[in-house]
Amino acid sequence: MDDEQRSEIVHEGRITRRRMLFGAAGAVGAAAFLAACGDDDDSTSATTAAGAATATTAAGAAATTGSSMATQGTTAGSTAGTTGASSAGSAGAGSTDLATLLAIDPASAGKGTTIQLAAVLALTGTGSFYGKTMSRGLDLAAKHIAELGGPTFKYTYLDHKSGDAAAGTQAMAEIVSKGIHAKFASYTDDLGVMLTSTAENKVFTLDGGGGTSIFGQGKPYFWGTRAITPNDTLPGLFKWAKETHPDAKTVGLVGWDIGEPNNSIVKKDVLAKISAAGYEFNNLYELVPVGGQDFSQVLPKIKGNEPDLLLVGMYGQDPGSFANQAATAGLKAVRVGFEFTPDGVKASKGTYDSAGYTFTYDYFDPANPKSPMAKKFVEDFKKDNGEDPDFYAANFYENAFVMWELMRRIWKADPKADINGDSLEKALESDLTVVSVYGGDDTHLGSYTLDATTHSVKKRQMGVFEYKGGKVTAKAFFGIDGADYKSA
Amino acid sequence: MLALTFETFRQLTVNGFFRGCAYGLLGVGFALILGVTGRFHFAYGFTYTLAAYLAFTLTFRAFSWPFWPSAILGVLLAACAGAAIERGVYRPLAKNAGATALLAVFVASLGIGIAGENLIRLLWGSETQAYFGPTQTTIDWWGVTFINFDWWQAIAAIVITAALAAMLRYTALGRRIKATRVNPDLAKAIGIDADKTYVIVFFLGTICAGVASFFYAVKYTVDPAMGTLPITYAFVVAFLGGTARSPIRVFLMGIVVSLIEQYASIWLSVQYTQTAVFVVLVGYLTYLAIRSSAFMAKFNKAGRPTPVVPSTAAEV
Repeated sequence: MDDEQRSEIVHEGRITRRRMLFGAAGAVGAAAFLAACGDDDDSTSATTAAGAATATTAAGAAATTGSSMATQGTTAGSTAGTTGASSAGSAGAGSTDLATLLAIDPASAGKGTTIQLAAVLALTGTGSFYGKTMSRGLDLAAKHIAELGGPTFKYTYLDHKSGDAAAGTQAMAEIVSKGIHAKFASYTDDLGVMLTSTAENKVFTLDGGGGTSIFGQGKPYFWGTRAITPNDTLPGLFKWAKETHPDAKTVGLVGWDIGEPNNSIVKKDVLAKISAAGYEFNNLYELVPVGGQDFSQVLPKIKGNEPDLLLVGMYGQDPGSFANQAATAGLKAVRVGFEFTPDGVKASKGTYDSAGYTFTYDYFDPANPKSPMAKKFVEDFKKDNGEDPDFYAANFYENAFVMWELMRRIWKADPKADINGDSLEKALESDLTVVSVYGGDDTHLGSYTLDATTHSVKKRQMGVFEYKGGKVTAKAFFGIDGADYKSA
Repeated sequence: MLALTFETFRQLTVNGFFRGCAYGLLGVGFALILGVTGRFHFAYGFTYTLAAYLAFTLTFRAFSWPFWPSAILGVLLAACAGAAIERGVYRPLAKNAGATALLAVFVASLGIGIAGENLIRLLWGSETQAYFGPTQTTIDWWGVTFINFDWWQAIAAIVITAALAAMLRYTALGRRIKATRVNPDLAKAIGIDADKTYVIVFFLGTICAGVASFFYAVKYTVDPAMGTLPITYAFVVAFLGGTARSPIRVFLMGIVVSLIEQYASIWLSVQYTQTAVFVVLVGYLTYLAIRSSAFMAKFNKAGRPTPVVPSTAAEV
């Protein structure tokens, strides 16, 4: 028996005092460390330099100043006489009761029914921020719908790993095998990977994350419920640019590589819109990997071919990293992004706050909710999550309500009707104006209108905004194709 | 075709150098581990990520410790994790797997890499974390711009590589490591504890990854998937530089790989520049294969092929 074996026998079956002390200390240390890992309190970052303030603002609200956004509900409501949103105008004048505004008929509300829905989101990977905020919006909507006497929404959350093709294919296989007829999607049905299966298996889909983009337009059972970026925003953006930067003549773009043929389809449309606005394309159209944070290869190329107006077609944290490095590289072009997220603020390492960040899209303003629905959403979201909701949480919250609105239409016509891809598609096609968490006022809910051909939004308010010093300021508002443009 | 100016070329070169310092450091650490132990340590990406997360946590989450001590401790703790993987997983697995040890360790390392990334997601969440350090300043040298962190990273990488090379050449530990690399069995026979040497090598190799990771985090952000791409570059640089060669040569190869990538972006769109690196790798492998082929043997004066293709992992 060697020394090692002897030692083991001596201690076998009992714990020495020393071991116990080490064990207890280790357990306490590990517990404290693990607890600290998950602590989201960024206030401890006060020891940092420029970034400390940024971290705090990133988690908190981005207050909007300047002129308030025009209420879309007023515009859309006037053209959509049969939606719950607009019917509220007559049924609920002066009332802030959400059930009344939504025109819920208890007979067709679906109480006691359980609806299985899928949500294929970026739960992991570089875009996991999106998955988190979108699922929060969906969960809150499910809670509110049940409270309002609607069905129980049971979500099956699936992960497309931030645009991974194999993950998207696998998610669709799971949805089909489980017999789920409707889903919420992001990244334009996982960068188009799920579109074919969505159509073949008649899985009715609402995408409030990526919308239809240009390449996903007109696909059966797939509807994009947000404005397409960058494309939908460009006419309005160029109107703003002509007002504020009259000397700007040339336009270039740096953006995400979303694969072919999607890249070519988007590029063709972007170039057409640049030309239509009277600008000159300066041949700078550089694509970068999704989720890449190092722009040291592309920045010298941009600097050597710098346009007057640079469109930054990236999302999530990437525009923040880009802004930081572009400032270091000394780019002088007017840079415009197409999204604003706390992840981007963090990745900008203070550049958004110090130099400002201009962006254009259908931004949701949590500091200025218009309708009772939006107010309840913002209030309860803050209560549940300790922070303001963003654009994606708002869109997915809204999408769940749209899904319920379609179900109510189906049950109103036939209380025993099946909820499936076909019935949902027909219900939407019967009236393309649906309820929205955007716009509206104290007595009206907002709404937006989809296009029967493109399956994208036809009417949705967008704008140009600037984030600086912890605040978002509106600069201009407009609709699709720059309609109803007005300076803020 | 975009205009290429001398300023663009100059900036790409400088950016390539700084990026190459990170690649070089990653390659040095990976080459040391692979060359000495023969283990394809693909969990290197996990330990890379862990270093940044630990440093971040010590400063911003757990203890609010000062920035630099937290950074150093984070790297050292990650290095301990690297050593623990060798001691607790690879070594017992290799001993039990016998002739298939190489494959067993390779599969285990992939498993640890995937599990490790997901563990980080569970502990810290999947979202990006902003890692703020000292104030970022821009340096402008004759129209070429970079930031202070680039500069610091380059200095740290050069110092670490030089120190590692000196240690291998001039110290007793270095001689033990080299002896183990050449022939672990013979090293044991002359009284060198090869197992202990392996653990030390994992510790040192992970320090290289940790330092590269720390500077990446300070320049950009911390996220659970940040170790995915570096492992690829570490492998390419280590392979091209030679795992049995001096760390200085491997480090320089990192800069060469980065410059190839940067210059490729002049003609290619950025999303294709990584392809250029792999074209070089495939070209190198083809060259090795042709050199050792029977065809080339005809032209060998000695009448037999030159054994340039490594026959064992330890020789890679």
